[in-house]
Amino acid sequence: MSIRLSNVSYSQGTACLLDGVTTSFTAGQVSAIVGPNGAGKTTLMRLISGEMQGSGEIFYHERNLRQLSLRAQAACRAVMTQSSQVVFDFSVEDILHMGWIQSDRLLLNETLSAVANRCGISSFLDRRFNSLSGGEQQRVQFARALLQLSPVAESNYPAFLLLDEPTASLDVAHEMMVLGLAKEAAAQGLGVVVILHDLNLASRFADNIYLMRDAQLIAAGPPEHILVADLLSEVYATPLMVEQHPQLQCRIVLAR
Amino acid sequence: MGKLWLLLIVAGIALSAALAIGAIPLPLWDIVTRQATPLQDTVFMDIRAPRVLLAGCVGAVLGLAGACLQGLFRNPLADPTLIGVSSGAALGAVAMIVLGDALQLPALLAAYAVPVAAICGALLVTSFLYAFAARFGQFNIVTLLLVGIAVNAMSTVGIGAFEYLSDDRQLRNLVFWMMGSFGRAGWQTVLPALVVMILAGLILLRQSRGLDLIQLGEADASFLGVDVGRLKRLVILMSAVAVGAGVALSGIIGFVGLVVPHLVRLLIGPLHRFLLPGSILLGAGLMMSADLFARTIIVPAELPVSLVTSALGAPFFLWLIARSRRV
Repeated sequence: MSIRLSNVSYSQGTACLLDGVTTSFTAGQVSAIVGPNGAGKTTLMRLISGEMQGSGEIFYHERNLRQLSLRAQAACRAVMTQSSQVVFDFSVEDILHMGWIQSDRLLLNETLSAVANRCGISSFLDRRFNSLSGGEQQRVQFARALLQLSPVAESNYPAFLLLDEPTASLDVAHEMMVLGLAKEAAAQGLGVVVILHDLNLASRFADNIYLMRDAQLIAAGPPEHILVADLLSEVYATPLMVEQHPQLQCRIVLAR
Repeated sequence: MGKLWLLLIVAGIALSAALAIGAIPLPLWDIVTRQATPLQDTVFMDIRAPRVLLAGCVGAVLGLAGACLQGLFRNPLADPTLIGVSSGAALGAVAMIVLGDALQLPALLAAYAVPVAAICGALLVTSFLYAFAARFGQFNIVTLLLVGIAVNAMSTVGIGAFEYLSDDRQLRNLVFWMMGSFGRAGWQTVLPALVVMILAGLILLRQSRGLDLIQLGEADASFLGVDVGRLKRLVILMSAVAVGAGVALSGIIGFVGLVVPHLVRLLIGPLHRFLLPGSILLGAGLMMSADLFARTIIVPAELPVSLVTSALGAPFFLWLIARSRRV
């Protein structure tokens, strides 16, 4: 019940963007990928999502990604990218419908209102997507990804939600909301793989943290193993300190 | 959905009006009930019907191709002229008009020479565009549009050269063709073009879900199971074939492919499963009306139909630009 990567690499010209990554991401958990700019986080995500092909093998539940049709891929993972520009005047509901990859329209209406409620977007289903604020658009795109993975019954496998910096343009309240929804989705059995810049968000929401530097995965494990002052200071080449959160059971990272 | 019926009624009214009104007025009911004079029957069957049918189909195809290309390029200003399809067809046709005499084709083939050359021109330009964009740089929309501009310029050079080479008779022929007209439609040439346009149109109609999803971005569409490469190939190729077949008989008719999808979007929204059939209906209705206007306003002479569509379309285009700048 996982995504497994075996010696996955990717180069462009002479530049090696990803160097021999072997690891796995487990369903039912939030896996956060962190690391300095240019470490290869987005490259890794693009390979996992199937957007790009490198060398090495990627397995979704022991099925090789290369051998899955686009439709089969769509059923086992949804991707939320950073761009969300839509040219024409689609309504929010139109956008959500696009995430529905099944033919059963009856089930769609049921699932759609449930997902919309969960993401707090039911009140503006009729509005034009382009008229929404960045935070609202982000929640709609998140709901679309959830909708894509809703009918997983047919595959028997839990599906994966791949999020590339889902909180990039959000204020702190919306950060909490989107990652809270991701955490909730993981609790219900989905796998969540998310790139995060903010180590404190990773600390708070992730079950496992994957630390990258210079195209390599250099450490992976639960937050208390990765969020260590010496390791982080070295990887980010900046003096950092790690403290216990005064109220929660998690660590916080501060610049020194 | 209800608004599609409205467009169907509009197209129906345009069809009846275009069939009935003309230099010789035709009482449609008499023709249906076989009570018309032999002259009226002949005018209907041999002149009016093929002409109106061709106008309707070319309008439908331009509207449909415009809607599909705007969707594919995620650019509301895209139309068949923009990516060079129309100018490619023009180049093919112009080359055949000027060089055709030298080929000394048998009369039977000669009737089809210009249409076939136009389709070949459209396909040639489109394949070149496609190959160039795919070979040098990623096959993305911006590359395609930029290459389209270059291809348009090269076609203009070719057309200019052929104009220079042509004699007086050929030049008149050529100018007439460049301005667009349905005046020379006959069953012999209209029928094969209709078959091509309908087949290509049916394939385009089936791409509505892919065209919806690509609005989220190419990567996002493929994450949802759309074969984006195949969608691009089909839409570009079928638009070229359909527009090439139509333009071959009618000449270049501007702005229909641009304006029609916009109006339909304003009326029934951007979802392609409504937009594509809507653009077919409105394109057909508008073109039959434009042709009706062009051939009745200065009887017994007629205006080039492109004059009518451009006179209406160009200000609309300016309004669109002004509107998009404001937002």
